[in-house]
Amino acid sequence: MSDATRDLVSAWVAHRDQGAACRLMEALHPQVIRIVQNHLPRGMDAEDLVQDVFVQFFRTLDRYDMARPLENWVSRMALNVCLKALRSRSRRPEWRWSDLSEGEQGVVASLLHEPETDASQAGAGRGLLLKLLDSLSPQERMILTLLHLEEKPVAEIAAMTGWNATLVKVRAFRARAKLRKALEAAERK
Amino acid sequence: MKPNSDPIQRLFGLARAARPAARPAGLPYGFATRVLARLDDSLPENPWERLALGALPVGAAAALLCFFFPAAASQETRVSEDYQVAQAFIQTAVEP
Repeated sequence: MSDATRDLVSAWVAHRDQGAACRLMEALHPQVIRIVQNHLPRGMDAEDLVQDVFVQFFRTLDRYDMARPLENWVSRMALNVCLKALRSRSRRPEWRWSDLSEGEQGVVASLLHEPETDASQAGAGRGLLLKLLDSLSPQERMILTLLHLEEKPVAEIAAMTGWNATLVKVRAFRARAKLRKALEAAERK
Repeated sequence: MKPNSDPIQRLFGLARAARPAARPAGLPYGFATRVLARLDDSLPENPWERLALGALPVGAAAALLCFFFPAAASQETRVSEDYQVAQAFIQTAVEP
């Protein structure tokens, strides 16, 4: 952590310095918004969750250990806020063939029956993936997003989530299997 | 390079290629003000004030106990006094 950031953290903890809080928010906002956008439950507003992250951040900043990287601490907090929001949804959707757009249906067919996919299907592919991820548990969705969408190494995911590396790999393996079943089920329904 | 045959890995490859548009730099308008306002509404700044607020329910419970306990004890005393008076009357009436 840089000295400037350390000073800002100390200023908030000691004096509740609002200027320091604003500068911390400016520095950390890009990281937090990126995490929230990648893990945002469908239908939820990103800014609401980002606000929740920063409110929790400032409320608990006096417990932060300055020996550890601030970015990891913030990432973990953002992920936990997103996990909580995902868990608050009462039902996980199951997608039928008719729920998918024409482009998404084309991606399903291409993935399951053709050896290669066309790069022009990228947008529809992302839409399809986000729908299928909705059908997984919050933890499964999070682990696949971190590992395969954000391409973070297992060690970094372990540091962000507090899980050990073996648990990360096992959960990812099971989540991928479920995602494959959801993909095949979407074609059948 | 051999194409990936796993449909899930191919799906993630497509999704990565279609990243969402970059957001403008900087905080949204009024964002910091809203966060600080929510913080002001939550915990008080002074740790002693926080302790006092936390101890308030305990103090209220103790005050209620202090109020009800003597009231229950004095009611018991009144009953025993009434009993003694009754006993004295009965014995006085019986004795010649």
